[in-house]
Amino acid sequence: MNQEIKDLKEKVKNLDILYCEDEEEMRIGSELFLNKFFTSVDSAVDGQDGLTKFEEKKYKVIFTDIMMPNMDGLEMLKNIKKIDENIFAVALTASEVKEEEITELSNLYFRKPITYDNMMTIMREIVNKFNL
Amino acid sequence: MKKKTKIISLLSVIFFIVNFAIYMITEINKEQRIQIALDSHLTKLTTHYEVLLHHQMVTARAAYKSTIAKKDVIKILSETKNASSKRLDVLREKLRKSLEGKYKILHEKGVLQYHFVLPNNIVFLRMHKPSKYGDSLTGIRYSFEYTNRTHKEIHGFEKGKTTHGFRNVYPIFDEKHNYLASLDIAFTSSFLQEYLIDVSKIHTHLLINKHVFDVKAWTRDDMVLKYTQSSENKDYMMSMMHSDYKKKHILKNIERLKPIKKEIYDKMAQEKPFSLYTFFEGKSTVISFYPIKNIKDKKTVAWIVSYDGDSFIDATLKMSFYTQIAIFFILFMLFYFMYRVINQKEILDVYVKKQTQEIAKSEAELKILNENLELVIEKEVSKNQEKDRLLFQQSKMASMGEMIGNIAHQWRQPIAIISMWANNIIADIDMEEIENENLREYANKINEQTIHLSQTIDDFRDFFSPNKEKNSFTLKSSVDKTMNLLSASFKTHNIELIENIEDIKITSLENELTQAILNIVKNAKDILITLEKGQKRLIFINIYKKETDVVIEIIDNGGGIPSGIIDKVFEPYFTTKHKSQGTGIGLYMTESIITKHLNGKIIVKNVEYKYDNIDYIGAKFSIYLPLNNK
Repeated sequence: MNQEIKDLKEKVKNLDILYCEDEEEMRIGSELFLNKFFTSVDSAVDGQDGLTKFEEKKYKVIFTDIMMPNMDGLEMLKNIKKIDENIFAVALTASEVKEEEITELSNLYFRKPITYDNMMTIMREIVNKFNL
Repeated sequence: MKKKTKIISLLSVIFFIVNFAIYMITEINKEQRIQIALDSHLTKLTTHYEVLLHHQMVTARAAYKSTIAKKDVIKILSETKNASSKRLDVLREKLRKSLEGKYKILHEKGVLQYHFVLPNNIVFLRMHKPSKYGDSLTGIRYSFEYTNRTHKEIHGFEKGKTTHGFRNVYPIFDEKHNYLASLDIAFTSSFLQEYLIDVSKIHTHLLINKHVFDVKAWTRDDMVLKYTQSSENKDYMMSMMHSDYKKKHILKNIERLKPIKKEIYDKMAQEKPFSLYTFFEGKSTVISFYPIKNIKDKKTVAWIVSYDGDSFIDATLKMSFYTQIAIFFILFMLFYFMYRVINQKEILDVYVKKQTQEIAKSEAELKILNENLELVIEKEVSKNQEKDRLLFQQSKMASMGEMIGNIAHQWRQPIAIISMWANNIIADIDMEEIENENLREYANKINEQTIHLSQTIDDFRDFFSPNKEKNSFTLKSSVDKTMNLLSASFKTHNIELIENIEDIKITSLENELTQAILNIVKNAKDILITLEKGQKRLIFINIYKKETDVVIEIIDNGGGIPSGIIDKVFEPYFTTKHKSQGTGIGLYMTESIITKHLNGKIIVKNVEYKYDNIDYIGAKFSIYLPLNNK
């Protein structure tokens, strides 16, 4: 593992992470993946679940799927931002839908799944954002 | 056209024949009537002439009798025998004086000549001209020669030295029956003519034969009567009654007689009385000719010709003329009418013939048409089938396009998952935390997803594979298969599928049925995704048995189909969607699959219903399939 990643990981690993994904297999796998970089990763099954979890615990970084039942990712981000404007949001999409809204509401967005290279970018941006 | 000409000429010929026949009949009738009139004119002339002649003879006889009854007359005449000329002069004067009064009376009665001639034919005394005497009449006056020779009386028309006249010559005897002289008591023709005018109201001309009479000898001034060329016949002179009579009617009469000139010549040559008429200047004139015979040889030497108007002939001529005209026009009208009738019939015949031909033609055409109709129908049917096949193909292609979208959607998630596990592996490697157990787990997860991908491919391939053979299947599995294809899409769009399916096994064309159901469900999905966010999106699938049918109901909560278009949803190319979204043939194909291929029926209506205590409105498609589909 190169030094930069190690340094970045050291800076961000203690941030509280919320991950929202309705597809179970995806959620499990991605949670596992995120745990390689962050110590504390909580997951939610849809937007509603995510919002509830955010109200209980103020997460700094949110990874979220967009298309989800009950409440979709954008709706959820809108509500979270009403509570805390200063969050870092990463949107993950299966297809290019509502791109404009996604860009507005999220700091970064990627096609699913999230890759190792994506993580470099994400971590750098998080460090910049929170001056870690 | 040829026939028409034939009819016209035939009718014309008949018309002229009939017209001519009627003309002839009226002409003959006219001539007969006129002839009667002419006869009456001739009879009138003849009667009056003969009566007058008889009357003259009676007068003459009476004069003769009274003359010879006078003793001095007989005595004077007796003394003339062997008397000297001086003595004769004395005797002549004596006789003249004795008869002067008598002659006056006789003259009043029309007698011109009272004329004594001695047996040697020497004139003794002319009472009408006493100064002229002593001349011999031998060879001049046959009547005197006759009486002097035969001592018998004689009557008739005869010329004289001064005039012609109607002679009555008698012998004179003494008491001892010795012949003394002959006496002529003669009447002039002008007296006759005057009598006819005054008494009988008949205007006459007297014609004298030039060749018989020495006309030239009569041009002398001492002639009692003057003559001029007659208008009736160039061989005759006309006696003029008065000087003012001269040429008065001659020229005009020549004109008038011109048309009948030849007839006059012919009839005059026959020397018998005749009558004829001429029409001149709007008036008819009857001209009657009566021949006057010469005293000597009984040849016709003169004619008394009467001219008389006749209103009966005028009327007859006028009537027959108008009758002929009228008949001509009546016949003309009749024949024209006949022509019209025949022509009409002809036209009608032609028309009927034409119509008959046309009907025959139409029948032939109809027959051909009938023969062709089957072919046309066959052609049209196959054309329709071809069209349907193309539509079906189009529909299938559209479905396929849709399905590819669905496949992409269906695959995106497993691919993302595979990729995600791959990323976990990469992360472990880069972070130098590789553990075999973990790697195995990741690989297994990847394999699970590939199975899923493979299954999706199979599902779609089955769906599109041609399936014309009927097979037995449970409707539940069929619907599940269909819905599996759409599950990713449903999930994405938050569409809830509520199934209430009885376990029914039927024998039918499964792929056709699933395609039909898919079309309806897709339609429902298309309307549901237009609903506001937060609204529930529901699709119900109910399958149950009803009598001999199985009923498949697909209900949505899309608000229903507008009433204006609900009747049109099964029509081809009918769509409410934007062109990029729909082809307009999905529901048409569904309907034709169900009715034509599956022997079922499909109906659509809007329904209101309650679900989880909420009221919804939506479209309800009901498919009826026979359970025992053969």
